[in-house]
Amino acid sequence: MPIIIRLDRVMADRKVSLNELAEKIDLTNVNLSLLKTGKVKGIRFNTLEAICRELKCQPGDILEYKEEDK
Amino acid sequence: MESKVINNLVKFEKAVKIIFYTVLIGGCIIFAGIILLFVLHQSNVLTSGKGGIEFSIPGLIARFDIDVFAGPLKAALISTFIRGLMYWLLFTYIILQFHKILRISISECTPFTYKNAGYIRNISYSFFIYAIIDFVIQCIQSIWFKKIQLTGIHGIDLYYKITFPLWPVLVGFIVLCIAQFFTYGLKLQQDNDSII
Repeated sequence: MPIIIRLDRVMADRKVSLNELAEKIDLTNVNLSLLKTGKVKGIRFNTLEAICRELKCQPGDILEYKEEDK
Repeated sequence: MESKVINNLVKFEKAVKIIFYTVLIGGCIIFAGIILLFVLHQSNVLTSGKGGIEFSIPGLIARFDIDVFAGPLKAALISTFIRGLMYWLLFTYIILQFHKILRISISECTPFTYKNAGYIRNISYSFFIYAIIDFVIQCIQSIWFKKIQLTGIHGIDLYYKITFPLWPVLVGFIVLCIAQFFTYGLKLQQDNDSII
């Protein structure tokens, strides 16, 4: 998929662990791990909002568009 | 699922299991008994007045002496026997599939699984197969027993007539639609689950 999740990079910058963030945004560790590794089909606005609020970042910091190789 | 719902499902599963074995064993005994009577009659062990078959439906009992195997009703009895056997097989198979659905629902903690959708689809296929076999039996019956037209037996006229059984096709189609809705719902659920 050309949309890449850069959540791991932002989390590393903010020094926030997966468990810590999952607890703060009220998401299970499993689901956050799936999101972090890009194994999901989509992300809800309220999840994105919670992540941005907790990590103090913009949606563009988490999501990146990369053109697929033809 | 809640533990209360699971407990109820376990109870249902046990009840369906008992029904399945009752129908299976009961049917085996009944059909084996009829075959045994037929064989005994054919080998002249059982003669007239020494045995028979009793059919019972709510509010009505019909007794047939062993002689019916030799009379003009023989062909009609054979076709009734085959049809009865098919009804029993269909009914037993449906109960078995239903039991499997309950078992999967308990083990997976949800009834909404692809396996269960497959079992529902199997039930619908069994109705289609039943309709086809019933039609084939009617065709064979009308070819083989064409000359034996049962007329004038105590004011009852019996003739063979080929008709395609529509009710199993209709029921099978409805059950197949339910299975398709089930599968589609599962796909939607899977899509929804993959959005965080």
